[in-house]
Amino acid sequence: MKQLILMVTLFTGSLLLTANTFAASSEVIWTDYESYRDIREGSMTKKKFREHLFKTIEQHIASLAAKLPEDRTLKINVTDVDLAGNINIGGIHSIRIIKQMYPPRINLSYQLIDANDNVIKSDEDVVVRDMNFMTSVPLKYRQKSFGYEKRMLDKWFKDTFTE
Amino acid sequence: MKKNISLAMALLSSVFISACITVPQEPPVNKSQLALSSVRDIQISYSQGSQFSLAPKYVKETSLKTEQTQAIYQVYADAIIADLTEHGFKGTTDATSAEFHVGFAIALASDLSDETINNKFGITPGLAGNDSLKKGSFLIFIEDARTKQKVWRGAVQGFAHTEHNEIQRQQRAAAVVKRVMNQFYVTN
Repeated sequence: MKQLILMVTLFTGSLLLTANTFAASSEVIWTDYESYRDIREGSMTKKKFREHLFKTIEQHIASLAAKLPEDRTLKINVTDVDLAGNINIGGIHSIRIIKQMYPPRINLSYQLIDANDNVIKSDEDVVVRDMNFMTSVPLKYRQKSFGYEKRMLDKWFKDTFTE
Repeated sequence: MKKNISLAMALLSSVFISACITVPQEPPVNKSQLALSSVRDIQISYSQGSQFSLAPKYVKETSLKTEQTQAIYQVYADAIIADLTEHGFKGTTDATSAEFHVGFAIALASDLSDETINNKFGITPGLAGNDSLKKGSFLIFIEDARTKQKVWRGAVQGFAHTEHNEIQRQQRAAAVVKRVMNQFYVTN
């Protein structure tokens, strides 16, 4: 009986503890962004659009890092971005045409480090690409900025950090 | 014995029932969580021994008292000077002899929103806010003294540790500055 009580106590204790052991820090470096393959948009200035993209992706990476244990830091160095679709420059207004043949891609390197700066996991040369980006876009990303890219990063994060 | 079994069963039942109730998911809370981002705008390298000057930028209207603002700016100014000095650069109070200027600003999210940071500074680390904590931002940039162009920008967001004493505040500022400045050094 004592064992049963002990087990129940441990079980409930672990449930209470797990609620507070996540929310890692995140670091994002945008390297040489002028050379990125495609971060253009027709309706905004180049600078405005870039800043909007950076903000959106940084927020998303911070939210992904928040799923990792709190004593960890996820460092990501973005070296190239090719957004989903392609800009059609014909006519007065340029528009982004989304087609299956223009999948999103982000090149990056990453490090997951612990509180003592020990590297737990890393990769210097990652190409994150989603060839099936137009199929089954989750509801939460429909009508959202850079939804395809967010979903692509979600899949990469899940594949890379789910043990 | 029966009492113990009942107690255990009640505890287990309450756990299962609470697991079945759907409540909105609060983002995880870690008061030490930091979100950081940086961009290199121009590929200019500064050699060891290059002189720099500090150029603090103050947010016009803040909820903090003037002396609080000055105190926190001083802590961060000291941390920036110490970090740059440690990496071989030399501080100067004469801005005309500096090879680069180091601008920085510190503010609570209630005084400087992510929207404003993104519009004025171009990068926002994107730390999710929390109702029970005060989110703050530390922005820093390196400007070339000759061309007056921004060479590098870095931004850190975290939660204010109001319970910290003077020493702990200095340690925290040093750690935050070190983290973001490392991104400048690796691209310099």
